[in-house]
Amino acid sequence: MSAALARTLACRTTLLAALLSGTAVPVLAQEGDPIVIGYAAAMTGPLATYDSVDGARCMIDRLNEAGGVLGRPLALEARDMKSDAVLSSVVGQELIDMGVSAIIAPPSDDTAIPIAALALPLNMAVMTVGSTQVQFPMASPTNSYLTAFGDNLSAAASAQYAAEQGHKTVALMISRDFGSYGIALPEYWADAFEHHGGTVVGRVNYNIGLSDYSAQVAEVAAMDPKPELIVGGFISPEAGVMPRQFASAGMDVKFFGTDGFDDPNLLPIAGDAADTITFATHGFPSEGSDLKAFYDDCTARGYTVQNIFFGLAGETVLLLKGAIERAGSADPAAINAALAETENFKGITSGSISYKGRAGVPSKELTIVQIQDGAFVPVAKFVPDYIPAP
Amino acid sequence: MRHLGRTLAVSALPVLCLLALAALIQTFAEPFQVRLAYAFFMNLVLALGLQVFMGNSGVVSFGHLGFMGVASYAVAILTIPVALKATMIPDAPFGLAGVELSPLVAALIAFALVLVLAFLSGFLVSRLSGAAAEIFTLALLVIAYVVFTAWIDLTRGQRSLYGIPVTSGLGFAAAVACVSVVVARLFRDSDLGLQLRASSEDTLAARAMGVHIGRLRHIAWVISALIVGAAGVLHATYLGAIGPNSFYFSQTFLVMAMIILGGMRSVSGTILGVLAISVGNEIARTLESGPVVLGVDLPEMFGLTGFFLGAVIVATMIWRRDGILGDIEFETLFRRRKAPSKGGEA
Repeated sequence: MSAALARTLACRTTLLAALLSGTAVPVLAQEGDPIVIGYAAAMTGPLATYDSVDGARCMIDRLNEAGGVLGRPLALEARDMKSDAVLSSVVGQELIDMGVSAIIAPPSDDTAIPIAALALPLNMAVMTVGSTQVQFPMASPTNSYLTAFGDNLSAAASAQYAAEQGHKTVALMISRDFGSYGIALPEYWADAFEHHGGTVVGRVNYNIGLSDYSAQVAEVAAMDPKPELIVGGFISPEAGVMPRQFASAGMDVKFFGTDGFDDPNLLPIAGDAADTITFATHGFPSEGSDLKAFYDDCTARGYTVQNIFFGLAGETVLLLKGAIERAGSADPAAINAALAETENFKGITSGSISYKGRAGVPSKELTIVQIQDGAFVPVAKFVPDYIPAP
Repeated sequence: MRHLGRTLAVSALPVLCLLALAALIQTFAEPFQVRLAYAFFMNLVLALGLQVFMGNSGVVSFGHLGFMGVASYAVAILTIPVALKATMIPDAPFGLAGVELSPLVAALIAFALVLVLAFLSGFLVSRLSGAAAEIFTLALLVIAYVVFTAWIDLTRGQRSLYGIPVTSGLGFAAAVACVSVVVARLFRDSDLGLQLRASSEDTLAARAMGVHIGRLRHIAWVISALIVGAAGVLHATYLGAIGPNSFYFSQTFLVMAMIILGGMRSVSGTILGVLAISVGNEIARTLESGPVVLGVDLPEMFGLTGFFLGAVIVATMIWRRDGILGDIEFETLFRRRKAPSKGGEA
């Protein structure tokens, strides 16, 4: 009470002094209590790759040096949810009990949805850094947000680019061994490709973890007409193994896909066949880009950049900061309302992010990356025209 | 049945303690601590279920989490509103996309399903022993996981099912845990339990004395699966969203650590183990996020809980292979304390 009173008095005195001297009041950064963002992060366990507390923390350091938000510093309260759904809900409730202004949730829908449900009565925004699963915002559309694109958006961008390059036929490769990425992504891709005039000539099933895919190669080789493209929700190592085996069988096909290809380890696995790969991804740290500047600055600050999720975690904090500024308040419901209205926001991985009218799944500018002579080369950047329904 | 009265009397102490604990936490603790307590009671039900089979038969089971998953998925699929199911699992088999039941009816159906599956798999498990039985249970876990992840029309695979009505609370979980304590004690103190434990000590001798080992294992298997199924119901009706990864190795090993620490041959040991690991985990979790303790600002040490869990298992294996309580129950513990003052022998 007395502290608040003192602050009010100090404020009034400053205001009076300013009025008397006829100058504007300088906004004093770092004044007042910090605005706390909670992060229920997968720091350990199988989901740990897709979260980055360091990325969020580095962005907060940068923002605070630049004066904070609304004249108040930002603070991060991070808790490990150990990739466990039950603990995730405990951690989410713990952050809500602490009175955070918004929550960053873990990267899988079964761990993030319970947090969104707990935050819903407060209308508190819950954002996830690493998830591309559109069902998370679908479960609680008024307060859940993906920072990354949804798989339908990335597939749409990749398919649109393929169509623009004049490709007409595709064979889909489908795996049921892991998540929706292996099943739903090829179908989103096909939907968008057909919208742009392409044709799906066949679907081939595969299992992950095998060393020999000659059966799949033979199946594709027997298709009539022969597909120009192969598309799948490939993850490492299949993302490299597939192109290599198709190339060594003498098949002239190109591989299209999304962020599953975005892995530096792809190059040694795919060998010469890497040059057949084109994919849509979150962003590319090319020279002069905001993402590169963020990475360099954070490295200089002593952080280690592990992968793209470092950049996406920073982008999540930046989106929240923008919403807090537009809301003019640290009230959770006000921030959520402002976040839902985000339009053409300049992030770090993407030059344009919009949530307005999209129920938490962003429309984003994506980067198309091609592997040329064994190096990742960004070849295009755009927001896709047509997005398949999730 | 002649043990019924005695068992109920000796179960009163842990049951009253658990109920008091739940009441205290519900009244005084922060909401997140209430969730922690809920997780404790849920893990306790799960551990007691495992104890009924493992503690009495001596066969280690890695497969019980599969029954938990079956119950969870059954409740989820039967209670999620039809409108939501139309977007998530429109092609669910057996017309399940058009079914919406109350949580109580859904839970009863889930139990019936677990009962049937446990009864059928029990024929196999009762004919195996030693490593073969353990590998069989492991295979059951993998089969269950593959069904949860691959039967996409029914379970959505790796994508989670959400929209399950959240109807459970701490009081309900505590009540289920108390019932589980009593059931586990009743089985342990029954002739069946005693004979089954005898068979785990010396199979040949027990068989020679006329113990139907296979039949007893079958009964223990079904009872334990039903208790574990109750934990599955608690899981689904509290979180409101479920995914297959909650019913796999990491949760299996957590519960294993709990009953190994406490002593799996004793119901009291199981309660103690779950309590010790839950409290220890929470202390480690608090310490790892770098709090200020006695004026010292501790550094962040994420991963400390994993280290703690490993250390507990190693220490138990070195110093107390039978767990903290071994095969002793609470009442024996108190009797032993009193014994020296009366008769001078421990």
